[in-house]
Amino acid sequence: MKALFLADLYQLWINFKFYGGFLLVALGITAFSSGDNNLGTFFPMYAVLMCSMMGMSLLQLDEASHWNVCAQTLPCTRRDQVTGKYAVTMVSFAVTWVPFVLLYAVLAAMGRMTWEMMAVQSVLLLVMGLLAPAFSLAPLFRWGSAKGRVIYIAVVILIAAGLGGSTAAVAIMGQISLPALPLPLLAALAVAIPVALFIGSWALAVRWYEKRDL
Amino acid sequence: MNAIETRGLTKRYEGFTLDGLDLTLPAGCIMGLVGENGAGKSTTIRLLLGLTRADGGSATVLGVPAGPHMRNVKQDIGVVLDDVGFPAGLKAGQIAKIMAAAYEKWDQALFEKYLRDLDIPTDKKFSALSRGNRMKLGIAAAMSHDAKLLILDEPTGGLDPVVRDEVVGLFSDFTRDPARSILISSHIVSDLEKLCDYIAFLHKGKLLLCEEKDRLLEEYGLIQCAREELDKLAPGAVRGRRETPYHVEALVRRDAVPAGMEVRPVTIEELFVLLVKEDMQ
Repeated sequence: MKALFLADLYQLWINFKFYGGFLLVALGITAFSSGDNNLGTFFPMYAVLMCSMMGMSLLQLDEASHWNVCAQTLPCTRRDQVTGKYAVTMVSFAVTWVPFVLLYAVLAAMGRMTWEMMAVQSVLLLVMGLLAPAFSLAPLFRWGSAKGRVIYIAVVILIAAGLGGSTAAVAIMGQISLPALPLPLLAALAVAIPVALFIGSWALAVRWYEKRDL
Repeated sequence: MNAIETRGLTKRYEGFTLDGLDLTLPAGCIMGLVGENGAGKSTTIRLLLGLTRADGGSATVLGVPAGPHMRNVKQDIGVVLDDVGFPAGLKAGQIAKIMAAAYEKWDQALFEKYLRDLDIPTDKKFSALSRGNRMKLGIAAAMSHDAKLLILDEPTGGLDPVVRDEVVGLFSDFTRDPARSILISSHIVSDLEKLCDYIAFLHKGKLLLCEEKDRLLEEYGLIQCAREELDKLAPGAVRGRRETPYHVEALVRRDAVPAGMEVRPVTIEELFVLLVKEDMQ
């Protein structure tokens, strides 16, 4: 398990080291355009989407180099392999999400956005970051990267559509209050559902991958 | 305890069936899997490693049932697949760190010795290595964690004759410890002849023969004669034949040939080719 994680970290560094620069740029643009809802939402969403897809990209790289097969000759199980990819996805997501949440908190403290808006944006990023891999990783483990790519593309399209929708939603939510349910409860629900889907996706991926012929 | 044991191991693909394979590799021995392309050698190895699920039968590796749930037993298994698949962008040093994290008994000094002895470049990414160097790196990694069993799928493919000889020597040294065993598949039958205690012939998913190598060489021989002479031999004496316009060359059981008939020794390669040709007829 540790070996697989180490291999993934090496792969992340080799293939995605540009991402650190992109993240800084995205944070900068978000900091200076927080008054503009479109820019202030698009860049964080894009960064989160990109990092949450890194687990999938690593899986595709593994299959291209046949490391996914070679790794199964090491002292690890299919479950370990799946868990490793979900863990890497969580780590890369956290590396993006946490700085944005901190930035939103600073902006809220400076009075450049409301605390409610900060909470909504943070939750939206969390939802987006968990839903994309939740829907994409399990099919990739089941059918491999060639067939699973179709689902990967479908998810990217859906998420892109979601980005547009969420940008509009944020704009609307910034102007109206939600009387029916208190914001903390809404936020808890919005977090709980993607988290449950992410965990369910992991369990399904383990089950599917254990049945797959490599 | 047997290092490997399969009973009725079966796997079906479209157009191919590995059909009820019974193999036993005793601990401390080397078994060679010989067969033409698509005979089932790699399928057998993949079933043993749990990379593929069997449709029937059973297999145990070092006493543990083979399957995707194997974990601890793999500490004692070194594997080289026909397509060594380390992550493309990694160098030998990084691969060693991954192996050290995977294997409790990883021996870094031994790995570095293999790198030097086999002249493996350490400054190049895995994807930039030649097929031969990739294979050598795979072999070095498989032999550096004090494994009890090596499972090798075409490990000498892509190696030049000098390195091949060196690698065969390494495998031979490996089994000086009587607790260590090797299962090796190869097209290069001469390598297996040098190395193996047991030979298993696979043909179209079926096990044609599995015997001790020395016994095979003792039991079988080649004769050259006219077709009429061959027809006079006892049924079952002839196990394969190769006909030319001038004579027939036949693989025969030595004990079924009349005294006085000249029987010359057979090589494992000749034995395999003639057995397969006979089976195809």
